[in-house]
Amino acid sequence: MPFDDEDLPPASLNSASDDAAFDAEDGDKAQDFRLFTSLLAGPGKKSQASSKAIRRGEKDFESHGTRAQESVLESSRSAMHEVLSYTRQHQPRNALRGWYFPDRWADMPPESDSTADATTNKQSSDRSTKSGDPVQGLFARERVVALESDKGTMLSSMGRVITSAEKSTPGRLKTWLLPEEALFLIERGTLDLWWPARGIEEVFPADDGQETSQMNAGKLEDYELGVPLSLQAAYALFIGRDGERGKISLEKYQVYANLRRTGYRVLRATPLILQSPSSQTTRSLWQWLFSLLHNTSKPRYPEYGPLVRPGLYRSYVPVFEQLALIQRHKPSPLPPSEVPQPEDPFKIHFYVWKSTSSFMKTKPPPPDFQMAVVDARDSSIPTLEQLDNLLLSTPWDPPRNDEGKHGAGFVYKRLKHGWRNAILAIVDRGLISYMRFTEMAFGEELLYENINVRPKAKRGGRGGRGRGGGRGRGRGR
Amino acid sequence: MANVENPAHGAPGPETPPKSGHHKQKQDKASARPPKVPLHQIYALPAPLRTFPLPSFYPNNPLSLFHVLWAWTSQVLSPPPAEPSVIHQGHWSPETRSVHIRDPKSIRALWEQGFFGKGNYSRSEPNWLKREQSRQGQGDKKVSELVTVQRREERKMMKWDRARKEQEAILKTRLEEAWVAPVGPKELLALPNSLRELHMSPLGGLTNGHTTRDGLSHTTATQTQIDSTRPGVSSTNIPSPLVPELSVNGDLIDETAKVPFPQLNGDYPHSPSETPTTKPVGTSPDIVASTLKRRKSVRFSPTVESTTFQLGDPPSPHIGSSTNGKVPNGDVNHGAQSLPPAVDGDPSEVLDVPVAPESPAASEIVDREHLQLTPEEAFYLVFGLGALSVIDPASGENMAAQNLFHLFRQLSYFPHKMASLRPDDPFLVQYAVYHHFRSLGWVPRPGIKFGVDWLLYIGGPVFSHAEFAVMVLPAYTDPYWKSQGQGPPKKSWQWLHSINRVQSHALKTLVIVYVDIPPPTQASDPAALLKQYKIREFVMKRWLSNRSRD
Repeated sequence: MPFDDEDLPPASLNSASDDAAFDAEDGDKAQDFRLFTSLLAGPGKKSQASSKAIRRGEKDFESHGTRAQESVLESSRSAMHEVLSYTRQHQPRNALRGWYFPDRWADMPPESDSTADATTNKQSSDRSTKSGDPVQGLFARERVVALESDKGTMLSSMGRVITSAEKSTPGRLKTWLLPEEALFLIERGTLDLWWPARGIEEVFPADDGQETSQMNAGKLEDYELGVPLSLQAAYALFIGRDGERGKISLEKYQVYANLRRTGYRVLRATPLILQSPSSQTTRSLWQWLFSLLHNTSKPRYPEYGPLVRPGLYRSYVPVFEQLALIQRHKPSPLPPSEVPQPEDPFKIHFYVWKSTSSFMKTKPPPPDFQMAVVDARDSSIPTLEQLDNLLLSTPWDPPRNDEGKHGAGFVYKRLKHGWRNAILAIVDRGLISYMRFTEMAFGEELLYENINVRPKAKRGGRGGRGRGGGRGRGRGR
Repeated sequence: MANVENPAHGAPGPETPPKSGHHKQKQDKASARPPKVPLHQIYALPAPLRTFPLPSFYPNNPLSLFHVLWAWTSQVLSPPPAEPSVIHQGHWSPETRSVHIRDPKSIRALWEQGFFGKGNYSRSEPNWLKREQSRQGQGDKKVSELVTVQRREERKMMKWDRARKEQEAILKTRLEEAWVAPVGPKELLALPNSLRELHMSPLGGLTNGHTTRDGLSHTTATQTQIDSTRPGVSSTNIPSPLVPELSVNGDLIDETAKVPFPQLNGDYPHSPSETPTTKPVGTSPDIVASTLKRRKSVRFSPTVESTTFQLGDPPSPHIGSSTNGKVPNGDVNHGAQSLPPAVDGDPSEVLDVPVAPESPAASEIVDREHLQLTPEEAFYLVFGLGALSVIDPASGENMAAQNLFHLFRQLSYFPHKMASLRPDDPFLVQYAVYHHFRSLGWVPRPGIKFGVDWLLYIGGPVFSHAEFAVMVLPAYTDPYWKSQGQGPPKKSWQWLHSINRVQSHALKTLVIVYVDIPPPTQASDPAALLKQYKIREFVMKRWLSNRSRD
């Protein structure tokens, strides 16, 4: 099919490999360690494994008893061994040490309140500029780990300094991590988590200068201040149920860690503004819109048909217009005050950015993807209201304006692009399946009005372009 | 239920329908017309209604004004009959729950003008007669089913050929590796059978190959040993040594004896193309018969390359006519003769055509096919376009639209409900979706073969593959349903994933259509009822995290 090969890799475009579609669909493949070793092999080292291009869609390691295959297998094995036996060194200057202070910011306002204040104080309505607001996305209440230093490339998209606290409070100028960020760094081996035996004043004394961490390290011995924690302890501290302060549910952490490992930048989604229950007005507005739509062209429908009244028709447009009976969806941008509040599993939890875009964690650009996390066992597929509310809370993203183009490919493209979209991460006990849901509107594409929409008419009709006589629509109409 | 296209693996480009479409013609004009009629002329009308557009007026050509005027006045003076001018006759068939169209003209009209229904002997387009005629060699009519069968056959052969080549490549490397000669005496001693050989015959210990080659009588003794130790070394196709008469056949012994120490013989060809398995070997019938049960190899015909099976080989594309099953009687002649049809099978044999009772002498075939319409299609033609009237078989009279509506709604329940029809009964929900897409200009066709409710074609199945696969779900957003505690059916994520997986394999896009069910009302006429339904569409597609990163 010529139109939906968006995600087919070029290698599998040949029609011979019927695994292509299946293969393209399989996002998660086993890693090829030979590629890794070629990365690891420095100028001095020599890698035994050749990193030749992988052939997709073939399982190579079903033994057929040839030595050639065995040597391939062996080289792959040795490559894997080489990768796994690679000594990872932690540079002392890159070592991060974090302290677990779960209650330091417990009295901060939760995120939704602060955003509501911020938005009412500052710009009132524009949702796109909201993400630029520094208070937005801070989640001070949820931040439970304070870092001693803020060096390292990992921190370009994690951790925040909480500046809104009063001066000379301990930990004010430190970088504070959210539980999922801390856990990810610990799992990665970048962060050492410590349990403080003393109060925060002693761990971070006189917290208004730059040189504090060096000084207090000199003052008190490490183990007088606290004890290091294991990864298990970190899991126990950070994984919890939804809604617990300073914790994150296991599903969300798994999605977060998966996306981070795959190379995305992920931040928690800022909740929508809580508004006064004005859903009544939105409902009436919708009804008003629909009534308007129907009042303008309200033919009297014959009760038992036929809807198309017998008569002489000069084109098919009035024929199909008489057939329009069932209410169609008309997507429209909603002002932010009327966006309904989505219910919990089906709401945006993470904003996701591609790794290529330039990124500032204090002022992130508009996210590339909006992601909700759903447990596959606890929830069933969304109802219309859940899905609608979820999508209404995502930004308005209509298809690009190529109205003049009537080909089938353009129709497909516009319809598939949709008007709003969100990604659902469905987690089934650790396995994550991402699904993109898009709000569509077939009613926006009136196929019967397009002359050239039939895909093959272009190629097949050399002499038949000008359709006269008993043909559907006259040229001049 | 009915679609022309071939769902398998979504081979790019809709080749089948256009090719066959060139030969689709109205039956009465089949001989008068030139053979090539463009598709969009045959399938010009999107609905079984005609329109009478005025000719266009070109300002730079004043004469065209007269053309327009002439057309207008002629239409005013002698107006064409009000459309729909032809009302087709359908027969309600309670047994099959469908509406049958029997008049050949109506069948063609309903198929060509909007792709309604399906031929009851065809996959989609009602062309049983044409298929039957081409099967009997009357005229060279190409039918899409035959083309599809042929393409499937070709694809099967292609895959089979690809798998065979793969196997051959593996075999080749395996043999090449087996040809490596042991160099030093130590290696020779380490070989599994040479130590024992050494004890048995101190003279011929090292040069086993020579020994077996020199004396045929000696071969039979040693061959058992060679073969019993072989499986670890190589597993090429060597006839079993269980047969004592094997020694008679010098050719075979040569082969078997050479494999372990091929280089010692010196005179054996090294090129892998003449390896034992690919070499055509003439063997006596009884050997073949007795060896077949042990090794899956048939080696008695020049086409041995394509009929030699390894245990790991892919299954034969022609399961029915596979030679393996037929030979064990020892009837080699029979087995050899059955080979050619296996290689180039006649596609028409595979096609299961319901054969009409026909006498071989009678050249005229009676068209026994009718068009069957689903309740949704029939009701759309009656209620929407007014181009169909359905006859009740019991009374022989026309069924009114309200009777049809009521009947279809009742039948959509299982068991049938005679009273208290709900606004969310399956027929209403499905019909709302069908009518919605029809009224927008799409051609919906039943999608049970893809595990969905409808497939959406943009001009019709002859023009292109369906792009969208529609799954219908009811939605109960109205406060009335909330107060009743009525919610939508809870579907698991696994259910959704399985449907989506099928669609992406067939290169279709899954569209989930929610039908917002209104609360029950007093209105019972379809127009008032259907006006309250609201349709929402959502696309679903898997998002691949490692493909969307940059």
